[in-house]
Amino acid sequence: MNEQTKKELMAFMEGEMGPLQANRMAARLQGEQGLRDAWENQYRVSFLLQNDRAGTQWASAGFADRVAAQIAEEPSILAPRATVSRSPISPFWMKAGSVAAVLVVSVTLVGLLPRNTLTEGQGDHANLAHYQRTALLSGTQSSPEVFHLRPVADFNVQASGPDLVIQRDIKRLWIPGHSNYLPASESVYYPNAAGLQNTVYSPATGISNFSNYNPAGGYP
Amino acid sequence: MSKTSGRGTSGALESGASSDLLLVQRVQKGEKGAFDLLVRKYQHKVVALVGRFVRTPEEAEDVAQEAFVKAYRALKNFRGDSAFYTWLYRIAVNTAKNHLVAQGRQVAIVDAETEDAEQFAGADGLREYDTPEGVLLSKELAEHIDGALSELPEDLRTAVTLREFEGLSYDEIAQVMECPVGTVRSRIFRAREAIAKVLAPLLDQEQS
Repeated sequence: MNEQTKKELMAFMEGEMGPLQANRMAARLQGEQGLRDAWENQYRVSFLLQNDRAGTQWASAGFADRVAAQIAEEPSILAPRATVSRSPISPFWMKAGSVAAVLVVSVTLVGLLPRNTLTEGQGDHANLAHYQRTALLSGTQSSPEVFHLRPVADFNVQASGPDLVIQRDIKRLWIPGHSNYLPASESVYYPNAAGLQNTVYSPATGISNFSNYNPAGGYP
Repeated sequence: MSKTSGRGTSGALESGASSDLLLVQRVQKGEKGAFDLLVRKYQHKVVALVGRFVRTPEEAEDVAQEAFVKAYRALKNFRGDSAFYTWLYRIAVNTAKNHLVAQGRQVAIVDAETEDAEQFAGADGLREYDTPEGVLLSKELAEHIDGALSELPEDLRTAVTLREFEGLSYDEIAQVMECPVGTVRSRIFRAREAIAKVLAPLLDQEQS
C-alpha cells in the first residue's frame, strides 16, 4: 500500500473526505482485501491501545467473518427513501460550502429546476409552498451566475428524479419526496448517474444550462 | 515513553461519523460489503460492551453477533437522528439485556438507559472478565503494547500517543509536532501497523 493510499484511508476513517472521494474509498474498501485488512487492523490496534486494562474483552479474529456469513443470508436492504435527515459536515465541505455561499450570496432567487416526474411524495409536493413560488426568479444580477451543485453519491434518489428547488442563496436544497433539506455544503443533486449539476442562472432566462458532467480535474 | 493513564479516549475511536453515515447509506442501497466495514470497525467496542453484561467471552461474541444482525435488519429505518455508533451501542445493550432476561438472569444494570449506551462502552463498574486467564492475557497485552510503543521511532510514537492516549485530533497533533496533517496520518497509520505486527502472535494465541 503506498503512502497516498494510507493517507486517504486515514482521511476516510476520520470523515475528512468529500462525499465523492469518500464513496470511492468505500468502494475500494469493499473490493480490496488488503485495504479492508488495513482498515480492520487500524481499528483493532486503536481499540487495544485504549483498552488494554484487565478484564476488557475484544472480538476474536474470526468474529467479523462470522457476522458476514450470517449477514450474507439476510436479504439486502433497499431503503424505500432517503433515510438520513442530516449529515455531518467535514471541515473540507464546510469550507467549500462557505466559498460557494460567497459566490452566490448576492443572488436572490427561489427557483425550480424541472426534472422529470416525481416518483414519490407527490402529495407533499402539491402542498409545498415552495412550488407555488417557482416562478419567482427575481434575480437582480446583470449577468448570468453560475452555480455549482456538487454531486453526492450517497443521496438516495430515484433515477427518474424528483424536482429540485433551489432556495434563496442556495442555502439549502429541497428535494421533494424526501422531506429533506441539505445544507449548502452539500448542495448536490445526484440522480444515480454521477455528475456535477452545472446550472447557469440568468435574470432573463432563469435557471438554464442544466447538465450533468464529471469534471476530470475536480471541481471548480 | 510511558503510557499515560488517560485511556479510553472515545473520540478517537468513534471519529469519522460522516464516514459511518456514508457506509450506512451504502448499506441502505443494498451493499452488504459496507456493513462488513462497519462490523470490522465496531466489533471490538461492541464485544467489549456486551462482555460487561454476560459471563463468558464466547457468550459475549454470540450476543454481539446477534446485535450486529439486529442492527443490519433495522438499518433500513436508521435515519441519522443519532450517530451510528450510538444507535449500534443501544442495540447491543438491549440485546445483552434481553439475553440475560431470556436466560433468567438478572440484568446487571437495571436502571441503565439505553440512551447512555455510548457511555457504557468505556464505563467501569460493569461486569469484567477477571478470570486469572483474562488478567494474565491483559497483562501480557499491556506488556506487548508497551514494548511495541518503545520500539517505535520517536515521531511515530509521539503521534500515536497523542492520538490514542491524549485524544488529540489530527490537526492538533500536526500543530504539536509542527508537521503537515498528512504526515500525522501517515505516522499514525504506520505506528498502528507496527504495533499490530507485534501483537499478532499474542492475539493468535488468544484465538487458539
